[in-house]
Amino acid sequence: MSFKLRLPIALGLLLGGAAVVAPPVEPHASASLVVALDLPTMVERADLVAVVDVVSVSAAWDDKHERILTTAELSVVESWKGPMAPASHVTIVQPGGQVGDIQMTVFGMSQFTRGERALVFLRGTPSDASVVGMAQGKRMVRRDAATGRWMVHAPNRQGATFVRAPGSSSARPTVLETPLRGLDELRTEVRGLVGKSAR
Amino acid sequence: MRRTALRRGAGPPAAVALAALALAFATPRRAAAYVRYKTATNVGFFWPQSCVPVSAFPLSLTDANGNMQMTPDQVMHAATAAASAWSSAQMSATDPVCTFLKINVTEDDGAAPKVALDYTNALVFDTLVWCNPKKDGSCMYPAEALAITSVFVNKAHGQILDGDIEVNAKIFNWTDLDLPGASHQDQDLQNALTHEMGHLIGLDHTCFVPQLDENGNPLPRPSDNLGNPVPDCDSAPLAVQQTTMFASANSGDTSKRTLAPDDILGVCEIYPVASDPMICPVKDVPPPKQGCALAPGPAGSGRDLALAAAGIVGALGLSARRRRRSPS
Repeated sequence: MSFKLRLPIALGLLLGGAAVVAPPVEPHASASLVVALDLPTMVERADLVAVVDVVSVSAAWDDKHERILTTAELSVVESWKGPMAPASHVTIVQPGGQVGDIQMTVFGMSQFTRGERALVFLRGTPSDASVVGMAQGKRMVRRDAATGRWMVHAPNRQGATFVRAPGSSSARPTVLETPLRGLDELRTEVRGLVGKSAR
Repeated sequence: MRRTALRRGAGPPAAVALAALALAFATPRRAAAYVRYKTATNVGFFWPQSCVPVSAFPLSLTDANGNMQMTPDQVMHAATAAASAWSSAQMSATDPVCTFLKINVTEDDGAAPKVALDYTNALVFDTLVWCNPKKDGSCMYPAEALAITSVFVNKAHGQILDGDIEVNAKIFNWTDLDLPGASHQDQDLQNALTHEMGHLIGLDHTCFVPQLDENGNPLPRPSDNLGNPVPDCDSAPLAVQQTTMFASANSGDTSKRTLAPDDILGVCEIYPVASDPMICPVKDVPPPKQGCALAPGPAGSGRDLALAAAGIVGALGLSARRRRRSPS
């Protein structure tokens, strides 16, 4: 909910005699500006949605020694949208990374770490994919120690400032506003959205 | 003019609401604070020079039909105003400018460069294609990004080497919301650039969203210049929400055009007038190495004192810097 949209509500509460409410704040973090997307939009814009294991991450200068590019190799655990079989591989190349003493920071890009499991929303093909919505398009997946359930965690929002576009004031929360979801529940919802868009 | 622009942009009812909110949530006055980007070795990002030259390429806002969302003059006005917000920071309206840092924006009518470690800090509009192509021509930038800032840093000592701001004008419309008839569905360029330039000079957001690392452990919460944990974005005090470097924005927003006290403190403590290295490079020239920048006695020691006082540089980084300056 945008600050401006909340102002009348807050003012109403104040005038109505409401004693104390928490000051409204958008749950956003960190440098590039990115539009905040809701789940249906994420699914719609993605060619591939999958739970993956990160097999490797490597950074190198490009051919002209101008940019540092990071390549992440992903192994599909289960596919929710797109033509990927389990154990098939997906390659993502994105700008940024660290080589020697030089760190190229491209604020807002997703960060991949070797060995982690994640839910990813990708555009393109398995051999040449990019993440939808920058950091929004990758969410860590971990088994909850207490319940044993697989949980999908909040996207890492460091590095991007997320902007709610005008007209996006519907009740649908953005992906950023749904920090923790059960994997089973999210799988059902995403596959439902995929089915809906296919009809 | 500080927050007046925010009030003006938000309109009188919003100003009343803001004042009411401020009263309603009045808490003991907090000390102004800021947050710096740090390298993996916990050293704050910084420019080792007096001037940060930025080449703006307003003609890159020209679309395939030869039209522009903003005129070159409007673009340059937005860019220079954003730069000026940082370069002319004052602790109060009656105080002198408290930072030596000058972000010098100059217009370049040439072809807009790509993001690269070329020692040209570029402000470009990607109007025809929003891409950043890979070797095979496929794109690395998502359509959802309005603007992307890239910074090259020497991770050993935090020195910023190059920074570029790319504005997505292929998919989004940019404007000056002060202009009569400007649509609040569009993005205010000055608002966005003021925030992005804060990142360009090494400032991080003033709030934090708790995250887990790949092992499921909470990522360490950053500290501000006072050593205090950075507040959650969800529950940050109103004063933090009002900073230019707060991590949220809205279409039609102009509140980030002007600096809040936290932002001013940041630029003035990282780049204090008393520590001016008196080095003003022009574009296309690699910045001076850190040792050179710190060579002038008063400037170098002033900078170190300021950094130490602010608690910004870790003990290791600071001692390393001192070792480099010591005669060997």
